Amino acid sequence: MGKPKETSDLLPGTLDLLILRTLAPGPMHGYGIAQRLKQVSEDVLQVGESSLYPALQRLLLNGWVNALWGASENNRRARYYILTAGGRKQLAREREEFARVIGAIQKVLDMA
Amino acid sequence: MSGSVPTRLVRAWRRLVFRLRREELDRDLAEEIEFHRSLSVAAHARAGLAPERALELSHREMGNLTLAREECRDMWSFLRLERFWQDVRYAVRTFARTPGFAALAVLSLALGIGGNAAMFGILSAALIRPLPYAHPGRLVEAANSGYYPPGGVVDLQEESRTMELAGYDPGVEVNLTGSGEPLRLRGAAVSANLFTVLGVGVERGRAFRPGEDLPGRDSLVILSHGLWQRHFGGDPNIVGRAVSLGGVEREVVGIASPGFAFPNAATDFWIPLHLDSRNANAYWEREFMPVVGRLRPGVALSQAQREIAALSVQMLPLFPSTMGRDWAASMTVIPLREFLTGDIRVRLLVLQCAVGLVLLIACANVAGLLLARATARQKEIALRVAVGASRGRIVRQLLTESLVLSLAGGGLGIALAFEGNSALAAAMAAIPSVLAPAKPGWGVLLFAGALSLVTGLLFGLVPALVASRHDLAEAIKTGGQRTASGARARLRSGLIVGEVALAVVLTIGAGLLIRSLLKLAQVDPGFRPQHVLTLRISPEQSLCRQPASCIALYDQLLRLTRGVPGVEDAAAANTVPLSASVPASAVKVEGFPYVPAERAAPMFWAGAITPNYFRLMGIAILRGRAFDSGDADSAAPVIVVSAATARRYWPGQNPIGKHVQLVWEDRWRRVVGVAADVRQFDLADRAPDYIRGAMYMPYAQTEDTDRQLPAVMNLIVRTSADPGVVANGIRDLVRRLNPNVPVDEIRSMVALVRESTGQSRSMTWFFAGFAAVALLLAAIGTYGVVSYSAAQRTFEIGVRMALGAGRRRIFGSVLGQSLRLVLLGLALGLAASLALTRLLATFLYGTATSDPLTLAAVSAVLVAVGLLAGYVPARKAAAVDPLTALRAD
Repeated sequence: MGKPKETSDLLPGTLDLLILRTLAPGPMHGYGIAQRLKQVSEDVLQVGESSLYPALQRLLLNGWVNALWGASENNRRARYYILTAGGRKQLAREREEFARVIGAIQKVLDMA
Repeated sequence: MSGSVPTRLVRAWRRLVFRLRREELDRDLAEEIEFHRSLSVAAHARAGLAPERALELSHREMGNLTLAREECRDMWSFLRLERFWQDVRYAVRTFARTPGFAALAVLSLALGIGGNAAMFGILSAALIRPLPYAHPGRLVEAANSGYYPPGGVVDLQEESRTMELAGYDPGVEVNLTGSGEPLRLRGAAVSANLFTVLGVGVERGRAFRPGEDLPGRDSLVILSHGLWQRHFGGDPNIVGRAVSLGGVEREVVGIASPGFAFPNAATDFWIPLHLDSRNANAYWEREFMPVVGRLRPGVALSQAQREIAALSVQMLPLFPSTMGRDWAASMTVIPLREFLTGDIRVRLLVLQCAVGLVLLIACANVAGLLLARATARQKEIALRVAVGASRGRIVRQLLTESLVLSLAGGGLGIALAFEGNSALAAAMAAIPSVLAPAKPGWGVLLFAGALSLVTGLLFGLVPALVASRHDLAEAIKTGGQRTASGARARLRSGLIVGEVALAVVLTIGAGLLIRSLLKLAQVDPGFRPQHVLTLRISPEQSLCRQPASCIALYDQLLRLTRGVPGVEDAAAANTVPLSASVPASAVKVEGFPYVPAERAAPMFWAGAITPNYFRLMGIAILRGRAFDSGDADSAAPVIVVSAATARRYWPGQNPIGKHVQLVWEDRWRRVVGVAADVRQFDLADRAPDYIRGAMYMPYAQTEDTDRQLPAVMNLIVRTSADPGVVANGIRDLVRRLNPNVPVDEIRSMVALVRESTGQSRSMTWFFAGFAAVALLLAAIGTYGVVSYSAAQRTFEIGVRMALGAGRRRIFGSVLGQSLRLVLLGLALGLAASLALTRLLATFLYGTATSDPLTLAAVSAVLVAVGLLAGYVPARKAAAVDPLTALRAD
C-alpha cells in the first residue's frame, strides 16, 4: 500500500471532479463522500474535512450541487448533497477535460 | 473568476444570498463537521482502536479545520470588498492618530479638487454643453464684421445654396406703454424664419410665418417668457391681443420658450424685420445686422465660407452707393458657438489651467507627506511583510489610505465647488446667457468624483510602491534611519522643487494681473466721475420727427432739472463713458479722400452733447473752444474732436478750422475745439478697432442716419446731495412732463468706473487666491521635507557637533537646504513662466509679461518662503544636544 494521497497534491480542480462523480449515483453526506473516495481508491485518496467541506461549499456556490438536511442511517441529522442538472453537465465537461489532460501527460511520459 | 457575464451575475447573486445567511451557514458547517468527526471516531473504534487513539487519528485526518472554515467563510462573502472596507477603517484609524497631517492633506486636496470642479462646471457649460437649439453643431454665424443691411440679408437668403439664413438686429429699443409705468424694452428685429433656422418652437401661440417680415404684415411681436411673466402676469390670453410697442400697435402672436434668449439674455421681445425694398436708403444703407445660419445637410463649413464670400462680392453692385471691396472681402462664417464664446474661451482656459496647477501642487504636496509618512512607518510595514503580507497587499493598503484622503478631499471639494460656483460665475459676468453655467449638477459631481480617484492614485501610487519596496531585515534591525536614504529623499526633494516651480508660475501670473489692475486703477479716464449721476431718458423716436420738439424737450428738462434740490448742474449726452455703448458714425475727414470702392469710410465715435457737458464732466478743452448756446440747429455746424483724433489726422497742424463730414450729409462740420481724450469704451481703452477717432457734436446739430436727432439721451447731473433722492426728484419731474417717457439706467459715474474693471478685478483675485494657496502649499511642503530630513539627520548632526561644528553652522546648513530647494524651484518656475505667462498677455494692461518688477517681487517672496520654511527646522537642528542624539536608539 502506497502512502495515502493528500488531496492538496491532486491536480487543481480534481477534488471537485471526484466529488461530482461520487454524487452521480445519488445523494450522500460529507462523511459518506470521504468514505466512498477512500474505498474506491483503495485508500490512496484520503480526503480530510479541511479540504472536503470548502470544496463542497465551492460546488454549492457554483450551483452544481444542492444541500438538504435529512436523517442519516443511524438517525442523526446529516446534510446530504445532491447533484443538480448543472452539476451533471459540469461533471461531463470536467471528465472530458481531465481525460484530455491525462492523455497529454501520458504522451509526454511516453515519449522516446 | 471566469465565465460569461450571466453566470458571473448568478454567482454574485448566490454569494450575496450566502453572505446574508452567513451565521446560519456557519452553524450548519460546524454541525456537519461534528457529525463527520463522530462517524470517523466511531469507525476507528470499530476497527479496534483505543478511544484516545481513535480520536487522535481522526484529528490528524481532518487537517487544518480552522483554515477550512475560514476558507468557507471567505466564499460566503465579498472578500475583496470586505477587505477594502477593512483597509478603509484601518486608514481612518491611522489618520485619526495624526489629525494634523490628515487635515492638511484633505484641505489642500479639497481646494484643488473643488476649484477644478467649480471651474469645470463653468467651462463645460461654456465650451462643451450643446447650445439649446436643434442640431447646434450645424449653426453658423457671419462673424464679427459680417453685418449686412436688410437688402443684403434678403439677397443672401435667396442666393445661398449652402445655408438657411436669418438676420437679426439685436439692439431694438422701444417703449412699452399703455399698461402701467412706461417700460424701456430691449428686443430684436429678426427675419421671419429666425425660429426655424435655430430650430426652436415657442411656448404658446406661434413663431413668425414666412413673409411676415414684409411691410404691411409685420405688426407682430413675440414676447419673451420673462417679460410675459413679469409684466403681463403670465396671462395666457395675451396671445392674440395687441400691445403698444414704441407707439405702434403689435399683435402678440406667441410667447417664447422659457430658456430662449437669442441673441442675448436682455432680449425681451422679437419683432419681424421691416423689409421695405422701396425705401432704398433704409433697405441698403442702414441697420446693418448680424446673420445666423444653418448649414444645409451634407454641407461643410468651408463650402459655406467660400459661398458667403462669393455672394458678398456679387452683392456689391446692388448697393445704391458705393460699398468698399474690403467689406465683402472680410465676410466669412464661423460656428455659432465659437462666435458666442469669443475671448471668454481663453479666459476660462487660463483659469482652468491655474486651478489645474493648484491641484497638481496639492498632489505633489500630499505625495511628499505620504512619502515622509511611509518612511516613518517603515517598521510597521516591515512587520506586516514579516508576518506574511504580500507586496501587493501592502501597496493596496497604502493606496486605500491615499484614496481615503482624496475622497475626503473630494467630498469637501464638492461642497466648495457648489459654494464657489456662483462666485466664479459672477466673475465670468460677460458669458452670454446660453453659455452660462447652470447650478452645478451631476456633471460636476461626477467630475469631482473621478478627479478624486485619479488624484488619489496619482499621489498615492509612487509613495506606496516606494514604501513597499525595501529591505525587510534592514528595516527591522535599525528601526530608525541614521542618514536619509538617498533615492527616497531625492524623490521628495524633486517633488518639492516641482511644486515650488508651479507655485512660482502661478504667483508670477497673479503678480502680473495685480500690477495690471493697479495700472488700470491709476488710469485717468479723462473725466471726473465724482458726484456725477446719469439717467437714461427714452422718449419715442417719433418725437424727434420735428427736431424742434426734441430740442425743446431737452431744453426744458435740463432747465427744470437744475431746479431739483441737490442738482448743481445738468447736461445731456447720447452716451455715457464706460457704458460700452458705441455711437459710431461713418465720416469723411478733410484731407483724407478715400476711394469708396476700395474701403469703407472710417468710423468715428460720435457724441451728441449739450454745451455744458465738457464743464460738467470735467473734460479739459485743450485748444479752441467748447460749444455754447450759439451753436444752435440753425447755426454753422461745428464739432470738437479728441486730442488723439487730431494727432492721428492732422499731426503737427492746427486742427482748428479743419472739417469732418458725416457720410450721409453734404455739409462739412468745422472743428472748433480739441478735447482731452476720454476712455469712452473701457479704462484700458480697448475700443473696437473699427473706431478711428472721436468727435462731439452739439445736440441741436446732430443727425443720425435717419436725419433725425437722437431721441434717447442720458441726463448727466452733478449732485451735491444723496444721488438716490436726486434721482427720485428727476424721475418725478419727467413723469410730470410726459408720463409716457421711461427713466432708467440710473447710475453713478463712480460705480460705472468701478464696474468697468470688475472683470479684470475678479480674474485677478481668483488668480491671486490660487497663487496664495499654491505658495502656502509649497511652503508647507518645503517645511515638511526640510524638517523631516533634519530630524532624520539628528544622529549625523550630533556627530558633527561632537566633532566641533558650531550651532551656527548646523543652523546654516539646514536653512541652506530649504533655500536650495526653493531657489531651484524658483529658477525652474521663472523659466516656465516665460513661456506660460504669454497666455495672460491679452488680459494685461500696460504690463509686459516679463515685467521685471513683478519677477523681482515674486523672487523676493519665494526667498522669504524658503527662509521661513527652513527657519523652524534649522533652529531645532541647531538646538540638538549631541549627547542625547548619539545615545538615541
